[in-house]
Amino acid sequence: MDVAAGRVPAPGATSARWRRKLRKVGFGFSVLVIVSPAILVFLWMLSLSLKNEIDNLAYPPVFIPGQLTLRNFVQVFAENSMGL
Amino acid sequence: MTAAASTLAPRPGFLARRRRSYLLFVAPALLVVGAVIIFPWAFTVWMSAFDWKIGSVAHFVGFDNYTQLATNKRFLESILHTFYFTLLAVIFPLILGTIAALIFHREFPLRGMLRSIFTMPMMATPVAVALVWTMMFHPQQGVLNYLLSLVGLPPSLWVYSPTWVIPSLVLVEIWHWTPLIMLIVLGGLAALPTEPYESARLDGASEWQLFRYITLPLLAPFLIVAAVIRTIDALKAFDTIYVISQGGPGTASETINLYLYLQAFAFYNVGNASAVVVVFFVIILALALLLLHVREKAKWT
Repeated sequence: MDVAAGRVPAPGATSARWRRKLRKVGFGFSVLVIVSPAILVFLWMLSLSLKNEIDNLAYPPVFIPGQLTLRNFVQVFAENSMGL
Repeated sequence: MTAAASTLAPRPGFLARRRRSYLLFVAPALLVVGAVIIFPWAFTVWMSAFDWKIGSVAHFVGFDNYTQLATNKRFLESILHTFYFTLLAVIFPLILGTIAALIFHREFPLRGMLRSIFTMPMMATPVAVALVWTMMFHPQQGVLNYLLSLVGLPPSLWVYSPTWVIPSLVLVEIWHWTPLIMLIVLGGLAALPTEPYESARLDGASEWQLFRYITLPLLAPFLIVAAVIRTIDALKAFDTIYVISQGGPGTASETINLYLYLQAFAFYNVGNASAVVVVFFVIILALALLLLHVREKAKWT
């Protein structure tokens, strides 16, 4: 199309290219919208598990806490025999 | 030829012997089905005719349990809750799952990875999922109200509001089971023939027309299968509801399953609970027949 129009692309060609780009961005956005709930809930689960109890009750919620802790995991294994 | 035919012809007693050996092979299956399916079922029907609390003597009351159920407001409401929950929990995953399948059917970078991420909820344990959502639903400390406040919406009570508890529970169900619908529909999309699309494009059909008049009708059998699976799952839903709301607030989200569980294992009204089981079974059977009928109609011709 560009070749046929010569060096300077015709206005129609640019708008078509823009539209194509816009459609791509829109599609990417829809992918993001549909995948994000799935991933965010799991990330939030992970975040909850790595935080101290006090950070879990914070409002507004902290996604990445200043102080990460593995205490919750240690506690789970310490308090349950887990069939071992 | 004739010699071979004569050797193949059944000898006297051949059929009788064959039938006997069949019976021998069928017997184990018959025994298992009888012990695992037929006996419990018959026992439940039998129990539903008794006024029986665990720990006391059972009295035969005939159909009294059923007549009581017919006027039991709590039970009748639980039927409505079940239907409401099922309707929402079938329609939304179907629509969203189809959209997701159409998106994932296209080629784009990282498609495989994103598809696996999208199917992750399906693999999570229901109780764990329910616990995380319980925390997210919390009216004061929950993330969802924080997200609502970010976009300028007023906070919601989520599962603590009688009107919103069922939609909130359905939200969890949607999150949990949309991937399954997506997988079924994606399989359907992969099986579609390409010729109708080519000829329709030549005729100048728009993308929407392609979807509406070719994809959707060809996809109908898959959508029906997905709807059947979803309906059965939504009717059976217990774990998420029990963990998140325990049928509350009050009895606002008490489905038949929850009511049944409370009657049998909290109040020990075994006779009453058995009657509920029988009624629930009839409802499920009726729905299944209806869906089968729809499925017959939607078959490819």
